[in-house]
Amino acid sequence: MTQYLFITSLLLCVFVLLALLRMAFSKNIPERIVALDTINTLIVTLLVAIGAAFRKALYIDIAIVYGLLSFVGTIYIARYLREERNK
Amino acid sequence: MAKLEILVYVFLSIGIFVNALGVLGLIRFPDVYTRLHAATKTTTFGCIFIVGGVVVMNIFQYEETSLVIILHSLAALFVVIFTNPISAHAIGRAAMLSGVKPYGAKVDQFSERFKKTGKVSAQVNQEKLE
Repeated sequence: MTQYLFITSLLLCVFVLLALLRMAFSKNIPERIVALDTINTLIVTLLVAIGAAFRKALYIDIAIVYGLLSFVGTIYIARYLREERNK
Repeated sequence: MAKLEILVYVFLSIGIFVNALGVLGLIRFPDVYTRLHAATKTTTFGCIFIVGGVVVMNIFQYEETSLVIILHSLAALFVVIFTNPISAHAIGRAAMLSGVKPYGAKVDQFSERFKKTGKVSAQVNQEKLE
């Protein structure tokens, strides 16, 4: 079962790389923000899977804090985008 | 006991499959709004199933750190479920207010309605676009 968790983590890493490619080759800023938000959710899932695979609760605590901070970052970038175009 | 093990495999497989669909939609769809539709819901759903698999695996192999792992994974799932739709809504609203049109759209009811009611932000964008 632990090996299957490692396979899950590896596949999630591949998904993060694909979303990063999407973020690199996109046309405008909101598409990049969508890719960034997807990467944040995938990384929270990845940290939970890695913490359960290594049996360390510290990774899962890092996942909680990363989720909250990425939420704040996404909201901030969205607000910046709105205010920047309205000037 | 063996049934619980099969349940772990099924949960993790569903989680991987749904996350793969989300990333596929993120790569293949043409627009901001369709990509939000593809990416946000599916990654939340996949996170639910992968955390469910982790919880069932820790119930199956119960050790002294299992209770901490279960409770903290459920807290991480709570964070993802409650913050992901809010951030998706913020991204969609910011994209719409900054003047990104939906792919292949003919009628723009959003700008027309804000032109009538007189909100400042949509008016400025409409003038910039014209």
